[in-house]
Amino acid sequence: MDGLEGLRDLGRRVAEMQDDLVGRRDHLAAARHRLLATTAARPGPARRTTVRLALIAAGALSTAAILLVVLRLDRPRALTFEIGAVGRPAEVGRWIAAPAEAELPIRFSEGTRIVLGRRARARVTKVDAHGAHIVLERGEARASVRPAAAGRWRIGAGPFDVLVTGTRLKVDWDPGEEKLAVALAEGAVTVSGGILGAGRPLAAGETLRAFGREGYFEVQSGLSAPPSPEPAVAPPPAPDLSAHPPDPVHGAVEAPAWRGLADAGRFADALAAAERNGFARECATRGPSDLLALADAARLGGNLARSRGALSALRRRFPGDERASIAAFGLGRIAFEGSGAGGERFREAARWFETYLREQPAGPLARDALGRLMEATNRGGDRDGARRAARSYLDAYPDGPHAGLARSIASAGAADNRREP
Amino acid sequence: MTPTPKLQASRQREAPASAPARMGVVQPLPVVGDDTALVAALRSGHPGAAAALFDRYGTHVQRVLVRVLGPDPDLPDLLHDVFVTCLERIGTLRDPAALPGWVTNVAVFTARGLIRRRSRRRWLDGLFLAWGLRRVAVPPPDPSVSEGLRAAYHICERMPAGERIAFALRIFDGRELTDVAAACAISLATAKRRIARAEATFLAEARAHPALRDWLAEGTRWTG
Repeated sequence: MDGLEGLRDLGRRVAEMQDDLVGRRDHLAAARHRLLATTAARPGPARRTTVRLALIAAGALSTAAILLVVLRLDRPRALTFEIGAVGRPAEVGRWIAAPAEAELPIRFSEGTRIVLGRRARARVTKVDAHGAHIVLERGEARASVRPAAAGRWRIGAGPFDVLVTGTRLKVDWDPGEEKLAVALAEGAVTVSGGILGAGRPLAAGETLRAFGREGYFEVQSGLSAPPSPEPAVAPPPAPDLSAHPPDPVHGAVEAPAWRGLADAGRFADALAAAERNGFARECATRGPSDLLALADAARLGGNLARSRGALSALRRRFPGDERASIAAFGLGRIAFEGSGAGGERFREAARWFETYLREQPAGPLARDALGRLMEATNRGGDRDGARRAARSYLDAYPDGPHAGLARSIASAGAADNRREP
Repeated sequence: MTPTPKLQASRQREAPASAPARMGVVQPLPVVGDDTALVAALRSGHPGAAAALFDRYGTHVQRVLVRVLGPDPDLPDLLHDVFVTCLERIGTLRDPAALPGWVTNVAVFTARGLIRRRSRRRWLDGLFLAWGLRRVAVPPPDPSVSEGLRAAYHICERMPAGERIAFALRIFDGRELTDVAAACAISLATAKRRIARAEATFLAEARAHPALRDWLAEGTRWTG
């Protein structure tokens, strides 16, 4: 297949994957809701046109230097934020952890306040002039968002997204049980993602509870204050922070320098930077997200052994973490692509993909893991295992990217059965 | 007795019977008709026109943004921004029948603006890193995005914005060259030139990348 033909096939595959991703994360409803809220707060087009013409006329009479000064003064600046009672300035992307014995406030420069409950974990992933994106990794966050027509505030929790436009609300997220609770005291929000699909608006006084594992949600109304969400079963035990180094220490942790290099696609440089810090030390001290990123950088930088080391450290140090399962998937991929002898590397790969499926049967990589398990077992000579995987794949993902291979494995199995006496 | 005009107006503002009383939502009449009618409704400030524009072109704009930018956390904001820009600049559209292409242009230019801003920020971050002045904190990789997809867009991120956009529309979105030129508001010759350069860059880097090498060499691998 020549280069351009291969490129066109690659392009089609990229498009298919994107459509699949976009289909799982419906942004249209949330964007529509926000657009209509924005346009409702703005003057009509005729008045805006009149205002604009007047400004253009005024500007035409001024000197170019005065216009430049006016524009520069008028440029909106991104918000800033501080963490804690003493107000430590913080940066986007830093891990924020509330201690076990107290809440932790996050204050934004325009007046919005987010308070993390005890032991809650969060990250501010984006800040601009109009708002911020906060990812609630675990626990409770109470938000008091300053209303603004152009305000853009979003709180992500697992697969869910809470789009906020000037409200007081409480969000509680339990990643282990996949339970979300959003209690709204004032204003309006739209909660989307996961089982909520296109988005569910909430009005003041309503509480939404989503049960991801069970696959349903409920909305209660008529509550005057955001109540604490009552879990249907006992919550998972809090992690024993003394058992292994925590991902966040009380407050924020600086991202390592090699993360920036990895994000810029300079994988070899990122790995070299990690080596300078001491690769073993990085594996012994970094949290699960950093270890995943380190493993990626090592693999894409051409050092599979280092990648395997980072992933193994992640599984050893954080055995119950969802990212440890992702590490299992990564180890499977390394084994598959490795240079070990004959069928052994495929059998090892199959074991890791099975591990992922056992730990995360409905995880985001489940479809890929099952497809790769099928291929690994097939290449490793386990025909029966490959056929079982192929049938499971076709049952669960009849139109998936591995479906063609699954059908050929399954039909080869059927042909073998017919030939047997 | 004939209702007084005030009473009629008050009745018109009552919420429909099917809506919860405390919501008090007034549903405007939907905009019907072709793009010429929609543009007229937008220019006159019809209350349902913004929703109609989004309903008609939301999926299309999302697809353009996704093809150009890849799996991007800013996608919801960009979707919103494209339509806000369309609403603000609807007065500049000379031919209402050209609305689809015009909306595509707005989407492409919005994406291009984001690409350029990020490129400037990355350049500055790189300087700071080199000087040891600041550590750049980055979010963890999204596990639901396949490595191949991430790798493809890593390569695209290093292309000049114009080449990247033309390449994405041609290769990922499967558009004809004339459509790519129209979407980017460039000549056909310029579109061909940009795409050819981008293809050469992408092929060279993809062949050296473990995740993409197989995709190029075995295009039908996963389909058996």
